[in-house]
Parts: sequence; C-alpha cells; structure tokens
Amino acid sequence: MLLKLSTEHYEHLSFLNKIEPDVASEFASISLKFLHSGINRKMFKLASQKLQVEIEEVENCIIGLMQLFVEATKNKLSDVDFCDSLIVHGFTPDLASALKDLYSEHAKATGSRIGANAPKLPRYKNMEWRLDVKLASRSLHNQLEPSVQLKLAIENFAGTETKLVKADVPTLLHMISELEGALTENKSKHVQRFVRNIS
Amino acid sequence: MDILSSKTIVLLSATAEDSLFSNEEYSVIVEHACQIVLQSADQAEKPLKLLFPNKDVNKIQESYTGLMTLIVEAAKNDLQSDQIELLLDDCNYLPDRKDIFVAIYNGNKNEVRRHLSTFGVDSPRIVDLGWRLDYHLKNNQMYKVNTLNYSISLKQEDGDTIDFQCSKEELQNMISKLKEAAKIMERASQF
Repeated sequence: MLLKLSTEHYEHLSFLNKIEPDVASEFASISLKFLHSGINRKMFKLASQKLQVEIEEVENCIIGLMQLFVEATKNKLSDVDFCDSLIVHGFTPDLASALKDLYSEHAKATGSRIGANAPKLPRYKNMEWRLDVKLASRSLHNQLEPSVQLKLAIENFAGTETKLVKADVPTLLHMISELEGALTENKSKHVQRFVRNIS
Repeated sequence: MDILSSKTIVLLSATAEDSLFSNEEYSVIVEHACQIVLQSADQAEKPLKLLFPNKDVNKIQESYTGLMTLIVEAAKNDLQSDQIELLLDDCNYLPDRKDIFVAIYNGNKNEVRRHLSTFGVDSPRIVDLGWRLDYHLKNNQMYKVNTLNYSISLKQEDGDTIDFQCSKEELQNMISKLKEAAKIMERASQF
C-alpha cells in the first residue's frame, strides 16, 4: 500500500526539496531521535539560523518527517512501498532512498515505542512451581495433602505483579489437558484458514 | 499436653448422667453436634428449645459445648476408639454411653477431618481455567498487528479470577513447566 500525504503535510515536507541531500538526511535522523527522546526546540533554532530560513519552516519539516515515519511504521510499510510513496508525491529518488534507509534501520525501535502506547492487557511473564505436602495445620494434625504451588508473574500497566496460587493434583492434570487443547486449536483448519486469508 | 481441658471434662461429665439425657436423647444430641461442627445449615438452625422442650436450656448448651469440643479435638488429633474411650472414662462415662459416642463419632470422623482441613493458612486454590484464542488485527497505535493471542483465565475457589494474555510460545512454555511438575508429582507419589 502507498501512503497518502495531506496537502498540509506535503507542503511541510516539500522544504526537504529546497535543502542539500545531506542536510535532509540529518533532518531525518533528528526527527527519529525526537521520536525516541522527545522534541528539543533548540535544534530548530540552530538549524534555522544555520540555513538562514524561518524557524517555522524547519519545525514543520522535522515534525512532518516524524509524522511520516510514524504513519509508515503504523502501517508496517515495506521499504519499497515507503520509497514509492515518496516518489509518487514528487520527491527525488535519492532523497526517497536515503529516507527509506533510515526508516528501515529504525523501524523496529519506532514500532516498539508506538506499540507501547497500545492498550495494555495483563500479559504472562513467567511461572514457577513448587511441590508441597501439607502435613499438619492448627486445626488438623496428621494430614497428607500434596499440592503444587504456582508463582505467576503477570505484567500489566502497573508493572509486574506476582500471584501465588495452589493447585491440587487433579486440578493440575485438568489444567494441562485444557491448555493443550487450547494449543491444538491453534492448528485447526478454521484458524489456519483465517490467518492465511486475513494477513 | 492434655487433649481436653479440665473445663471440658467437667462439661462432658454432666452428659454422662442418665438423669439429664436418656441414651436415645444422647444419640440425637451427639449426631446433632457432629452436624453443627460440619456446619450443615439445616441441622444447625433447629433451635435447641424445640428439640428438648422439657430440659434446662443452659444445661443443654453446656452439653453441646462439651461434646463439640470433644468431637473437634478427637478429629484434630486423629484419636482412635480406645483413646477416646479412655478420655470418656475420665468423664465418668458408662460403657454403653461410651459405645454410642464412639459409634456416632466414627461414622462422622472422616467428614469432620475433611472439614477441618479446609481451615488454615493457604494460598488461594485454583479450581478451573478458561481460555480464548484471538487474532489481534490492529489497534489505534498500530494499524497492522496481525498476531495470534491467547487469553487465559484461572478461576480461584473464592470466585476471583486471574486473567492474562500470552502468545502461543509462552503458552507452550507454561504447559511444559506444568507437565514437568506433574511428572515429578507422579514420581514422588510412588515412594
């Protein structure tokens, strides 16, 4: 698929055509850095002074580049599509290629930063188990009750939470068979057909 | 350490006498006391006055206290019939009443022990689990995610659930750990 830029966005980015290619590459690197660590307004001032242009033009251009990279990552654009999208909008192939290189280099990092803002549901992190036999308690002496203690580490928006639960032998076996059923469902025709067709 | 306190022995000694309860009434009381220990609701709610309208309520309550203490302590310490009979001797029980108690107690012993084992310090127990397989297409941050995703829900005894998501690989990892635990459990049970 190809990216479609709005008129405003295109106007901001067309500043790239007016500057030297290596400056354009530098702008792109700066924009990627800003995506990762936040915007530093001093850079705009420095660049605009160096290039003898309005600070607004520099700002719009760099922010436009940030937007470009974000949209491309959101849509998981391939390198070819990224390049083509730029060329279609009238940017030179060299510029497009330079930007594409930077894009693919940082694609994974940008993707994970964006993905970190997605709704975070509790995720499984780790599980440890321990075999115990209950021999006695205050209310009943002379017991013999085997059980498995499970320590589940679950990661949610508040950090990693550790939950301690107990399962007796029949429950453990039941859990194993249910989970194995869940795993085999993954290989069913229905699921495979869906995955093949949708992606 | 003595199994029964001197106070309990005094209370039980009162139940030894024929003057308070006949043997039939005594059987009813002991059985009822077992049901109360087991917290079987319908039995426990019958007011004492209705069961024994002609007797002194205080004396009946004291009898119940003594008998329930004996039932719980006997179950807790897994006392055998002869040990219980020795205790009842200390309470001046006659042989036939001793037999009545031991018979009814033995009939309910396993239930009482099972009930007592539920009290105490413990982590919440898992009783069931549910799972769900989803395909995550996209979210408002990423327009193309396209990953398979499992949602697992572990149900605890008190009704609470532990919910989490995991990928296929994480699920496989979890299953292999559980299988390992089950194997060790099986090996340990063969000793």
